[in-house]
Amino acid sequence: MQEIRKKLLEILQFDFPISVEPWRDIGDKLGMSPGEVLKLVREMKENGIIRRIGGIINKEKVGYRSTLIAVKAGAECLDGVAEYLNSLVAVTHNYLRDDEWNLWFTFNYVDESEVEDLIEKLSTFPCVEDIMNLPSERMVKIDARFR
Amino acid sequence: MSNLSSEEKKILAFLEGDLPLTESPFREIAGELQVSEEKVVGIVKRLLDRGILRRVGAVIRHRKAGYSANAMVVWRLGGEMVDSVEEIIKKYPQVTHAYFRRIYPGKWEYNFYTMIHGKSDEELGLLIRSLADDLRCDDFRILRTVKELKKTSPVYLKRGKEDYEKNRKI
Repeated sequence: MQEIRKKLLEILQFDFPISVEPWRDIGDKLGMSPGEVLKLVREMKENGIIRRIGGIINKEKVGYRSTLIAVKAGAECLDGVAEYLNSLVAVTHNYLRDDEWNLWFTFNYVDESEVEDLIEKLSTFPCVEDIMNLPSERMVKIDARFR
Repeated sequence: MSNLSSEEKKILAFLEGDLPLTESPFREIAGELQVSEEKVVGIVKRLLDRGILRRVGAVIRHRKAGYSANAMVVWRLGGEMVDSVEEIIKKYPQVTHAYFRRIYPGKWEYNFYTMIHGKSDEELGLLIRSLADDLRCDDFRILRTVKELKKTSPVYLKRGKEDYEKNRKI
């Protein structure tokens, strides 16, 4: 059973069939009925291994850009800064890291002025000592699939 | 910005969310658009061919899949490595993201960023060591994840005007 789950997770990530009945196509590969596949997929979604099944959009092609922003912030208002950032739809990843630059987040935007406005707003938090905007100059790899 | 028909936009907005875990996952959106499921599937395939969709499939939570030691490692790579990084990084499935980014001379001169995932701290340490050898770079900084404060799937097509205003005004 563990083997089947592993194989299924691999197909779901690397070889998802684009068809009217994807669960049937997957089932054919694994020797299972579509219903059995669907049951396992639901299970993996519920226990949290699968975050989402859907499409990954190339943001540049729909008019968006994104950047990584690093913040050096004191403990006094760190929670407030984090809470504020988490409330923004444009912030998709936000991490506390063990460095003097302790808060790192990604921000996607259409217009550069959105980044400027955000940095200006962050500077108003009293514990924020410094901010770096670190836009990508060249993408080398993006592939968060695991075998 | 690519040229997208309203049908394509609706399908992208649909795929930005969760594919319904039902027998025929495209039935609902096909009904909404009043087209056949086959037609929807054809449009999805074309969006993939045009590179507007990078892929369709499952996104997993790597922590739950056993990758509990995660770090961002930033490198100060010399010019001579810049052209060969692709080949090197390709050998490491544990490196999920790799980018060159802006530097701040005199303040922050790490130009290359990698996200690395290991099943233990030990494995993560070994990976970083091996990568340092391959990249021939000893000037790097490890920023371990202390806490994941937010991790969500991006929303582009479905973003409302309110969200946009909220980002801008602040």
